[in-house]
Amino acid sequence: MPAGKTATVPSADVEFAAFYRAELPGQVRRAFLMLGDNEHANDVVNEAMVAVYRNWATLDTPGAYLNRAVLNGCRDAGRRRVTSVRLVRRLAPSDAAAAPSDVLTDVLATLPFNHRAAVVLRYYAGYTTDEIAAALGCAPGSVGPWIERGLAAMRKVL
Amino acid sequence: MDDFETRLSGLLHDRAASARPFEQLDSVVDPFDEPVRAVAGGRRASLVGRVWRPLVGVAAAALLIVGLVAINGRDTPRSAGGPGAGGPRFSFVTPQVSLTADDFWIEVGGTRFTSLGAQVEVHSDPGDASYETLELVWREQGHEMRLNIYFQSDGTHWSSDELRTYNAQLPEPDWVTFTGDHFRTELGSPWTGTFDETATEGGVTSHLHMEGVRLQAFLGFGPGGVAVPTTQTIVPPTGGTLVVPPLAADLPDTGIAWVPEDAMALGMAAEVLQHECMAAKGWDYPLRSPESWAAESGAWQPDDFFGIVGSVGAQAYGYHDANAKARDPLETYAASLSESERTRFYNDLMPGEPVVDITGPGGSALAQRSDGGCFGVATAALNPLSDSQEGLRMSLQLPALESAPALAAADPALTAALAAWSSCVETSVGETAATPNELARRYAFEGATATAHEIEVAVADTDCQAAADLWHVYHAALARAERSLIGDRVTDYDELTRQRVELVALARQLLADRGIAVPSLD
Repeated sequence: MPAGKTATVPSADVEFAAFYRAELPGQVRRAFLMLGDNEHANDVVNEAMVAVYRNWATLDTPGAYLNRAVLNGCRDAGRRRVTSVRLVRRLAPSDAAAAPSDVLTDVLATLPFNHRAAVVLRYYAGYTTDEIAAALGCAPGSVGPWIERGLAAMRKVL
Repeated sequence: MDDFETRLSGLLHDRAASARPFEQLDSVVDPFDEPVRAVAGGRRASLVGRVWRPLVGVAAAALLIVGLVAINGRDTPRSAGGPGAGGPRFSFVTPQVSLTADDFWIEVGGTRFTSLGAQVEVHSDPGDASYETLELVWREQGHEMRLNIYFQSDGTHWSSDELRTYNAQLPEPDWVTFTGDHFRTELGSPWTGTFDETATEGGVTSHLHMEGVRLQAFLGFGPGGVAVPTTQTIVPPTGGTLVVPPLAADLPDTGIAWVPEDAMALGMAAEVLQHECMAAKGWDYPLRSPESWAAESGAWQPDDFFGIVGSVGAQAYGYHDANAKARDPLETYAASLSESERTRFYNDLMPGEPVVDITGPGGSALAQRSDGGCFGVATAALNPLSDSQEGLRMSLQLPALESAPALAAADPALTAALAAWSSCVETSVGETAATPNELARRYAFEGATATAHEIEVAVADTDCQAAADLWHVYHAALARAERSLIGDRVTDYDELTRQRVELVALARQLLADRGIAVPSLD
């Protein structure tokens, strides 16, 4: 048992459990859009939650910390996957018309990570430019071109 | 937003709605800490010691049994690792325990919980030769419901001295405990019959009903407690016999999952080829070193079957995730560029177009990959083997193989190798653990970096894995399970292995031509 924890009701743990349950669905859905894979998305988010839990007592804004940790996890997971496989899976067979959601997954997977993340954060999560910059750890000026690049690629196929 | 952006937003929301979040709170919090729910629920102090041990096992088993989630259908029930249509209605199987039943429900507080239609997380604390568990978790009717069964063995018989259900009290449920001597059966044999009992705790009565039950614990042990011997047939946890088709003499028994060292060789070759192409376009970023590849390839991931692989990563990082610390030189280089340069860099590396189809054995397209830029150049150097084996792999992602991991984990050869590993680490560093993953979790969450002691344990862990030939045994067990389940696709399955052997040989040759050796993970 870590120092500071007792066998009485651990309010911090209860708070973390509430935080975990409130954040998990949205974070997994966001990670799912970036990774295109449900298991990977769950793995990334739960790993990020481990980091949040370990630093719970010192975090002023655990939500922001979690956002960054999930994005970093998606970036790492995507890189590992690109290194080893580099494939874009299409769920529908080619002799049938691909559903828009499958095409969406395909085209998202072809975008560089920052482009993909910026598009998801803007058009799924509704983040402002400054919020996207904070989450991705970049200058706000970088965000606009990433979104434009992402949209340009997506307009061709969607 | 213009019309396209509005449509895109809608598509993203629709797509995101298909994600399925899996709550793993117990695995997220330190596995040696008290569980939030149990403590907050005011559980009796006398139970603390008893609960602590299973929780450690749950954390390990949750990782050991990858993807083992039972979905009991409302109208057309499915089993997890069990028989298909016509079989028992309920099936909860782990490498240690198999429970099937024709009817199953828990009635508590006036509400009946059946698990039908719910995603049921199925775990076991793998324990040891004298102790293990079966633990089910699901949500139903706004409540979290759990069933834990604790098994014990005296070396000749197995039985259960305790079962627990949740009491469905809000906001924080607590346990209702059933005690007594249940299911007593000779090792190697299942208990069959009906279980119907009630128990009351804290003023709440729970009624557990299981009908047409076939329950077997300690699946790795036969009569007299002897580990089940290796054969070329497999006895699945749910009964019957599966025959493993004979493997061609020139093929390794590696299975569909990539062997870490082979995956590393392929990744290294692809990276080198891309690097050469990018250098010709004027981009000058450093390559990852073979040592860095070895450390990252063996790093601990929570969803890995065994924890860490290879002494290089163990020596460098212990159980702390090397991937989180390693910096990809390509990404670092790209980050140092101006925005316009970075755009050009990524366009040179992997533009969105063109794409080519990945096809399966029948010629139907299963996926697409980018074929442009330096990624396309690198892939071309490894083709047609690269695309062909990937098409085969995708075509072999069959529902019939869903139970292969559980079947492999019950494989006597793997059980014996794990026992040898366990004995080795206990002798080497005094650690007692049933699996490498259980040992890894003991250290992985402590502090930001590995201590000297952690590195000592991690190195002993990987050395013992090598001594027990654990990765080979694991892949062989998985391959046996997969080949026994795949039916008439076994020819394609073996062709996948054959193509991978050639692909990895090609990757190694490309590296050798450049004076680069693939590091060993042993």
